[in-house]
Parts: sequence; C-alpha cells; structure tokens
Amino acid sequence: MTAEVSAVAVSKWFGLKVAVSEVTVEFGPGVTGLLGPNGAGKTTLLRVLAGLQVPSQGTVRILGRDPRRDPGVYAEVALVPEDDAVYPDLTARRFVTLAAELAGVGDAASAADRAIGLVELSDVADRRLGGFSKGMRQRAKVAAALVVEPRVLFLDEPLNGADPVQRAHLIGLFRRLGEQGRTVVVSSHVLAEVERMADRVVAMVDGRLAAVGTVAALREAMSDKPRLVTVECAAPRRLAAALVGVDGVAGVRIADGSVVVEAVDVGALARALPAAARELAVRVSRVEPADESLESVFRYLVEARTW
Amino acid sequence: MTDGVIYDRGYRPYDGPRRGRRGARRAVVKDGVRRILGLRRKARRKVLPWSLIAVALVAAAVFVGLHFAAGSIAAALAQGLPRYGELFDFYSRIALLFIAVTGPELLAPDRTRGVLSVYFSRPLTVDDYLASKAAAYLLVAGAIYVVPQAVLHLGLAFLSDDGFFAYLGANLDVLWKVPVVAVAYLAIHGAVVGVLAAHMRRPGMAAAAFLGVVVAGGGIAAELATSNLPSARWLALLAVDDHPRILRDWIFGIDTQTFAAERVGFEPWVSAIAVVVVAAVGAVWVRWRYRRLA
Repeated sequence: MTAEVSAVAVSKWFGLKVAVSEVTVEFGPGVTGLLGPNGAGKTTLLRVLAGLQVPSQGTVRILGRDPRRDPGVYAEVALVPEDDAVYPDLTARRFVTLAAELAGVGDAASAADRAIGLVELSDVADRRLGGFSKGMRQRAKVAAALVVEPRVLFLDEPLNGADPVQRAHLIGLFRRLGEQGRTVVVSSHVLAEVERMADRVVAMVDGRLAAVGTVAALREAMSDKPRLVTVECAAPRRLAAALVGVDGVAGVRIADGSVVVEAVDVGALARALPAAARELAVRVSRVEPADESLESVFRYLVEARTW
Repeated sequence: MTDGVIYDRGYRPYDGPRRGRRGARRAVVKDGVRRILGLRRKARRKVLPWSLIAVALVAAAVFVGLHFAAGSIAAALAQGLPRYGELFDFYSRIALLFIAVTGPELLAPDRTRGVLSVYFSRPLTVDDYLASKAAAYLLVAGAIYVVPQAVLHLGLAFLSDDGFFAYLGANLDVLWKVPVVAVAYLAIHGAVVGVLAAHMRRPGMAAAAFLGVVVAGGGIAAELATSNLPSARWLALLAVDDHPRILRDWIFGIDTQTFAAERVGFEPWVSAIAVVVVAAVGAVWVRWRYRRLA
C-alpha cells in the first residue's frame, strides 16, 4: 500500500484527557473505515490527520507534507466534518460554490453543479440549507468536499441523518472514489456501514489503535478466539451430538435450527464434519463462518480492551 | 430494446486551473463583503446594513446641499456647517452602528456553526483567514467613512468660486488626512468588535457588548479619569472611542471638544499610540484565539 496519509506515534490530549494515544497508522488509496465506539477518539484522530488539530506528540504527513506547515496540500485534500458545518441562510449551491472558491477552483460554479449532482441535490440546490433535513445537510457537506476533486478525503460520520436510499447512494459514491485510487478515510461507529464501504479497517478503542487490516485478516489474526461455524442440516441435534467429541471443537449448540460449532481448530472440524454427516446419513445444506463479520471482530477487539 | 439504461454517474476529475492561497483569500474577502451587506442572504439581513449605508449617502448629499444653500464655502463655515473633520463625528456614529451590526457576523457564525473546519481544510492559514476577514471589514466599513467624504469633497469642488480643479489642488491634504483618520476609527472599533466576536456565540450579544464597551465603557472611563482614585488619569486612555477623535482634531487642526484624555493632560500623540496599541492587542488576541481553534 502506498501511504498517502501517515501518522507516527501521534497522541492528542486535552488537559488531563487523552483522546488519542500513540497511534501509528498509514492510509493509502481505497476506502479505509475508521471504526470505534463513541468516544474512542475517531474524530480527534481524523482532525489531527487532516491537520486541523496539532498533535500533542508525533507527526502527521499528507502526501508527504506536513499539513500544519504547508497549507498548499489542501488543494488535494478535503474534509467532511461531523458538525453541521453549514450556513443555514445560504443555499446549497452558494455553499458548495463558496467551498469551491475557497479551494481556488477556477470554474467554481461548474464544479459546484457537478458536486451537487453527485450527491443528488440538484433539485433542491437553490433552497436554503436552514430548511434542509440533517441528511440533506450531510450531502451538502459531502458536495462541498468533493468540489475540490480531492486525492485524499476525510469523512467524519458522513452518513449521519441520511435515509437508507441516500446511505446506499453515498456508500456507492465513496466506494467509487476509492476505486478511482483516491484515499478515502471514513469514520463511523456503525459497523454495517463500514463493512459495506471499506476495504480496510482501522479500529480504535479508548484512544488507542486496536487493529488495522481487512476484516478477514483481523479475524484470522485472532487465533486465541474459537471460530464460530454455522452448520445447517436436516438433523441438527444428531449432528451436534456427533461433533461434541471431535478434537478441536470447543463447544456445540443449537441456534435457530442450526448447529453452531465453536472450533479451536477449523481444519479438524472441516475433516470431521463430512465424515460425521456421512456416518449419520444427515444431509448438510450449508456451512459458513458465523463470526467473520465486522461486528464479531469488533466485539472481540472491544472485549480484549476491557482489562 | 432494453428496458432500462444505467448512465455512468462516476466522478469526473476537475482539471481546470486552481488559484491556490490567493484564490482562497479572495474568496474569503468576497464572502465577507457579501455577509456584511447581507447579499445572497435573507431580506432581513440586508435591512440594517443597507439602511445605514443609505443614511450615510443621503446625509452626504444633504451636507453638499447645505453648503450650496449657504452660497459659498466661507459662508457655510460661518454658519457652522461641518467640513471634513467635523463630518467624522456624524459618520463615526453611523459606522459604529454598522460595525456593531455587521462586525460580529463576519467572525462568530464560522465558529459557532462549525464551519471553521471547512475553511481550514482549504489552502488557507489562520493568518490568511483573519487578514481576509479584516480586509472585508476595512473595505465596507471604510467606505462608510470615505465615500461620503469623497461626495462632500467633489461637491465642494463644484461649488467652489475658485473652480473645480483649483479647489482640488488647494485641498490635496484631504487625500491623506481622511484615510488616516478613517483607519484610526476602523482600527479601534475593529479591534474591539474582533475580540468580542472571537469569543461570543451570538452576534447580537457581541453587538451589544461592543456598544457597551465603546460607548458606555468609554463614558465611565472618562468620568473616573477625573475622580480622586489613585492614578485615575490613566483611566482616560480606556475611553477608546475618544482616541481617533483626538487624532482627528490633531490632524485636521480643529477643536471639536475637550476629550477625557486631553482633560487629564495627555498629548494627542498619546492617542495615536493608543490607537496602535489597541489595534495590535486586538489583532494578537484574535489570532491567538483562532490559532487555538484551528
């Protein structure tokens, strides 16, 4: 991965409160989800990464440049803040045009029109932002960020307030931006959203970096946690009884008519399961991992941090 | 024939010119001017600034008319009609109200609406941002001082018995005296309103506080300066609104009234220094505040 944004040993504290502690992380092209429960330090890290706050310790680089010393880098960077961050008495078009003008875009009006179209606000572009719903204001903020054609885009909880259709649209848009080779960093505490839009996850808990990587790789790295495997079959109780005695199986239970196996050694389970099914003449219709979702991984991460 | 068509709504890159920091600064100035004048805002945001501008312009025309009615400049002076120096008393009051109404609008909403992050994630430093806001303020509030004086100057030139160009030639000093005095007023008022707007959440509260500090605070300081309190005379320097007026009298060589600082024995150059100090303290204070916020 080519690092376009990097943080090295970054800490940020406010008085006695440590918001971000010793975080070293890199972000490259594609969508990276910055994940964590409320209060984990996501917004602070995002603001430090975007150069809006000085790190108390450590260094941040965007495209190899220090954003605090070299504001020229912002020609290629944009941020969608979590705050409302709009002027209620401006129209959406005027607000996005102002963002384009602030970025020094030559034809600000055309750029604004294009960005407004991307977030599907063209029909209401001449209405004042004060009359917009929260979701529409979010989209106006996203348009204001996209208007500069950023190579690096930071989005802080960008889907807050958006309705399901708009969420799906924005998630698709962020994915497309990532596929175009842009570095898109999206913070969210909603696991399902991050899972849908991010190729890679940076998980934070209590201001510290808890994990970095793809969801599957993170789950793979948790070798101390038994893997949950769901087996759908015609006779779950008989199959469960047979699997209890298999080496590498820590536990078996029945849930929603399926057998849920806690496997310490997935390989052993993979060998034993067909044999047991054949011996019992039980037809197995489906076998799938039950805890490779981001939610499961994140639950493990948070549990691991509650010392 | 297909039943549906999916159009490519992908992101098209912008490959036009980028104007960098200079463009960003210009955008902040432009937006500042629009915000002060209520342009592209709701109608009620236009009412106060444009009313005050209209009063300023109508008054300038009235002053010219009064000079015309007096018959000659000498007759007008004999009747006590105001000229350049005295006119500042009238226009500084209009400007004071104008600055109270519009000054906080320049800074406070960016902070309270969380829009600062939009500014500072652009090629713009805190100094760029503040300098551009100050430029917008100087441009519009400065016009309230300079434009009516220009109207008066040209009007008097037309009325002059010596002829238009002869009058302009004989009064070249006005070209530096008016801007210098205007800058003194703008510096004092700008520093006070800037500090208040950088801290207060509501522009209305900041406007009230501004008028309180400049008008009421100045009056109280002037009264206390002549009291029996120890070192009371120094309190006269806190009557900040008096300093540009003292400077104005000094520069134009007129004596409109005896101000508190003059009553306790301060020379006019002390007021000149006071203007510079208040402006500098205000600028440093606002910069410190925004460097913490940015």
